[in-house]
Amino acid sequence: MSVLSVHQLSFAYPRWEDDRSFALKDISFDIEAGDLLAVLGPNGAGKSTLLRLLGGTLGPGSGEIRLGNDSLESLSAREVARRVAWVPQDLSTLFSMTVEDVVSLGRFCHGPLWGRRSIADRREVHRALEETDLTGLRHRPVDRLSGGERRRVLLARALAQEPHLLLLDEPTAHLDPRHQAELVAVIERLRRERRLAVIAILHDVNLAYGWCPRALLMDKGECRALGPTARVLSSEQLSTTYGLNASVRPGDSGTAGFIQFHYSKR
Amino acid sequence: MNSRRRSWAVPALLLLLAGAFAFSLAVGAVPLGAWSDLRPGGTSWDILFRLRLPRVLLGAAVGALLSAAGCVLQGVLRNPLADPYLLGLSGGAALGSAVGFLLGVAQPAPLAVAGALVSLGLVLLLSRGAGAPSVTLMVLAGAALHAFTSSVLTFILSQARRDQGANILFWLLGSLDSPPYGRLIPLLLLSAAALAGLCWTSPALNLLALGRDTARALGLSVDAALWTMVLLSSLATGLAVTFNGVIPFVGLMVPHMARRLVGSDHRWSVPASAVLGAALVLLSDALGRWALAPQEIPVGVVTALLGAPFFLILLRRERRHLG
Repeated sequence: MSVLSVHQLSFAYPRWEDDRSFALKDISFDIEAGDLLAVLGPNGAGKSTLLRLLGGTLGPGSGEIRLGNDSLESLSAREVARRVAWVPQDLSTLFSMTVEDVVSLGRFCHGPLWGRRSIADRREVHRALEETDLTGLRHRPVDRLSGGERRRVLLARALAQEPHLLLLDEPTAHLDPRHQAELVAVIERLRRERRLAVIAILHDVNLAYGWCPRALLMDKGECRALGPTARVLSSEQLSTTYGLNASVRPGDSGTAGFIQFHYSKR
Repeated sequence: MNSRRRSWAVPALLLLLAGAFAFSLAVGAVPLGAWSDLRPGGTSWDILFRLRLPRVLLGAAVGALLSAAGCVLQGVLRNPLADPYLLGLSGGAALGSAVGFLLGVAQPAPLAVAGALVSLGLVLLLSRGAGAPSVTLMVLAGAALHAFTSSVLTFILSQARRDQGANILFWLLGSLDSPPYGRLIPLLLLSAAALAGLCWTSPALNLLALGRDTARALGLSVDAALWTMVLLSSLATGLAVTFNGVIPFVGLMVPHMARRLVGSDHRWSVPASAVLGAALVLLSDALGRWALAPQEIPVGVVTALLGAPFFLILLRRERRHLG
């Protein structure tokens, strides 16, 4: 049984209804435990809308989203949060909070509104901090962290929810290559050890090409291609979707391929 | 880090409140006589228990209500400069109370709470955009409504009989009065309920302070939580305004001080705001009674004199949060 299955999902923002343009149209895919799906496409393609619908922060749309055996709409906010964790692009706190404070908020969906944190809560927070290499920083205020460290805090908060599915909104944006590689390594370990299903919006096609086994290429709210990344990211697909000439050099055996855009209009 | 800070901050806050309570009871236009005079029927006994204690209890309740409501509103609106006045609730409550005064009703509290609720309804109606009410629109609508209710109040003052006008004006400035116990106790119980409600919502506030999408993604039923908080804050504001009229800056500055003391976890900062707010209003009131004795300075004037410089310092400190 799939962790998530999406069937003919469509969504239109209310104020768009008159001109009948859809933010999302007829998207269908499944994802299993341990899978990694890259969501690619130009700005405004509907990638973030898709992610927000899957996380339950937007919606409902038409069509169906199933988490395991249940339809997303039949679940309460709390039940959704125990299965799906959404990792936004950046963390903004109004007032100063420590790393551990922020990560502990991930336990909200497991406990009562009041009451002390249980042993399980503390264990999960500890484990999430450990898995994201934040144990040494846990008493540090989050507004004194670097961009890469804040990204890891958001990931740790998501892990504290003990979800089956992780939704990453451009996890590597604004990170230098070394921090990108570190974050990728952390996510890979989570897929292996926790059997987490991961959906990641990516803008870096080369990162998707080298990292993700499966990809969904979107344009104007529609699915252009879905399948193994090497097939989805063909030079024809990329050229039509992004409106730029793209050449793809497939990798030799065992090495990643390479995509190059030619920055002049076709 | 925070728990170590709290281990001295919480006792310090409680001590401060106890000190403010005692100081406020001891200070007044008439000095208390010797301890021997302190027996039922004596003058000191009457001053202490008939005049000062009700006033002190009321002052503590007002400070706690305004500050806890301010702390909750700052979190819900994600705006460090939010306070009960920003949503126009106090304006509506003041108008409701003033109408009560003019009509000569015995208990203006229900009218004040109704005024706050009507303002709230209007603000939320005006700020409805696509889907859920927008926080920014809510604040702007509140400011507009506050300006409107202030003008109506000014109009009422200009038209009222001279003695009535003076009464309303003095109450509006936030002069603490000494009501009889029969009227005081139900109001105090209601205040305690409002405070308990505000403290009860505080864990959800930790999530809402991160933004609505994040709160929802972490498992909070955002709309229900938001409505509960805004309604409770308006009840608290309505009660506080009935007691004392407009006491400015308390709901704004106390939460910031409380957060510096106990950290930004709302499960601590909301109750801490209540305690600190009670102490601040008591001390301001005592100062107002003592400074120009036997004349009294209304407590609202004292808090405004203390609050304005604080507010300016706060503005400079919070610049990076305000962008």
